[in-house]
Amino acid sequence: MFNINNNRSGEIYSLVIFIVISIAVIFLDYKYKQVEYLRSVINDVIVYPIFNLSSIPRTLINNIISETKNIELLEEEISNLRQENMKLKIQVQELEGLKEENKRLRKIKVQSERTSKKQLIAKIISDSASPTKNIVAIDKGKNDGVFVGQNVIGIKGLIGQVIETTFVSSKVILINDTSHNVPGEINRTGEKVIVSGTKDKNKLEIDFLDVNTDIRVGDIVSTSGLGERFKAKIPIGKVTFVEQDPEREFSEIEIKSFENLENLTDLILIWDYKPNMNTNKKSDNNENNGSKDNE
Amino acid sequence: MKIMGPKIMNNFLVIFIGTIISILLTITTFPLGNYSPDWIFLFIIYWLIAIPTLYSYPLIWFVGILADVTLGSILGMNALSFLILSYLVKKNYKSLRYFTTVQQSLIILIIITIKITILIFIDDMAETSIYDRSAYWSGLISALVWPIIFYGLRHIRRKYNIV
Repeated sequence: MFNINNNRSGEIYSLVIFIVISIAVIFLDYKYKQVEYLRSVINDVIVYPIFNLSSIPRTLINNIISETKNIELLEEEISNLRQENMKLKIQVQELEGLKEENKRLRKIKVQSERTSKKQLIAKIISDSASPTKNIVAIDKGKNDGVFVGQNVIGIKGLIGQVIETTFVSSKVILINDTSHNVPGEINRTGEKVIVSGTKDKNKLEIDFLDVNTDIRVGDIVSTSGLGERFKAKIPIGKVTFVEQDPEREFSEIEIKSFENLENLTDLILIWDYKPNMNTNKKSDNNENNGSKDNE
Repeated sequence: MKIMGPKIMNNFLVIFIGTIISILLTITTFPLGNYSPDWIFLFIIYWLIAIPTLYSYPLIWFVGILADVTLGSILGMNALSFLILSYLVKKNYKSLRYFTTVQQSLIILIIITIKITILIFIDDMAETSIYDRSAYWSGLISALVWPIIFYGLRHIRRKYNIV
């Protein structure tokens, strides 16, 4: 009480100093990404354990279920088989893409269609790692070689891309996020489209596609590789709804993703494609550079 | 009146556990999107009203940085808004203490609204589009949740005799 003047001014100084530090940090983070390292460290040391803590109930239930089986060998066998199955399914995906491509009898620049070299199966720590975006947190990070922009697929098709990595965990933005666009193409015709997320987590949509475009329900949409952010020929989904009103300029198209994006279980990280990240500034999730010109 | 020493450990634990619980609540209410209350700041506000000396500005800044990392926003955004609003709360803690819970809830609504405004302002400048106008719901929800936090933390404060 008696020393209050001295104390107060000291407090005000620390307030002002830390406000200035905050502004500096905001500026550094926005402009130069200098504090990315600090973010990683804080995330790994404090937030990641809490994330794990929050997933304990779910892990516990999973553990109980697997405990009841109580045959470790069998489990190992299953996981081995599953891994192999995933690999095979990825190969099938690629083959299917090739088949459709041949059907079109169109000469396309030869992409390297080899099977994925390195791949890693990641587990989801948190279904929703952001209050406003469809972002999931996974348990693989820089220590496993995960990098920003890495393509994330499931056994059936595209899931998303890595947007942030720390040493032991990463964040993956899903293709059904409203701010996320994927350059895709319709396998049957080769038409280039932009697939974006909608408010409805189960649906994707194609914006800005001319009403005269040849597109039907049942067409399969896969990534085109334009924009150099996603590997070409990863299946995205199937067209479920087409409305082509001649009065309007663009058609309304809904796509259902092959992956169940609302309830993901296993994610596969692939290493055989290095996206070109130079064209985009930080936290810009729009991959539509280059794919805007729909002939 | 003030016995420092053994209390320091106690206070540290209060801050430590409180922060972890508030982050945990934040993470678990992520699926609610913009309708989730601002747990981390509500915890700070309670302690600022109850014991203004418990949280110093450096500490508030650090918790703000933690909030930024948790929410995935630009580093320093929440820290800055925490600092500015904590100053206002610290300045008026005596009158806030004598308000009824409903009045306090209204104050919380105003505080969180100011906070969201600051966040949206920075967000717009940085063009990260993490927050949009619907984030203002968070203020209303926080005001509704405030009585729970107030009575819950007051119970803990009295039980463990935190001064």
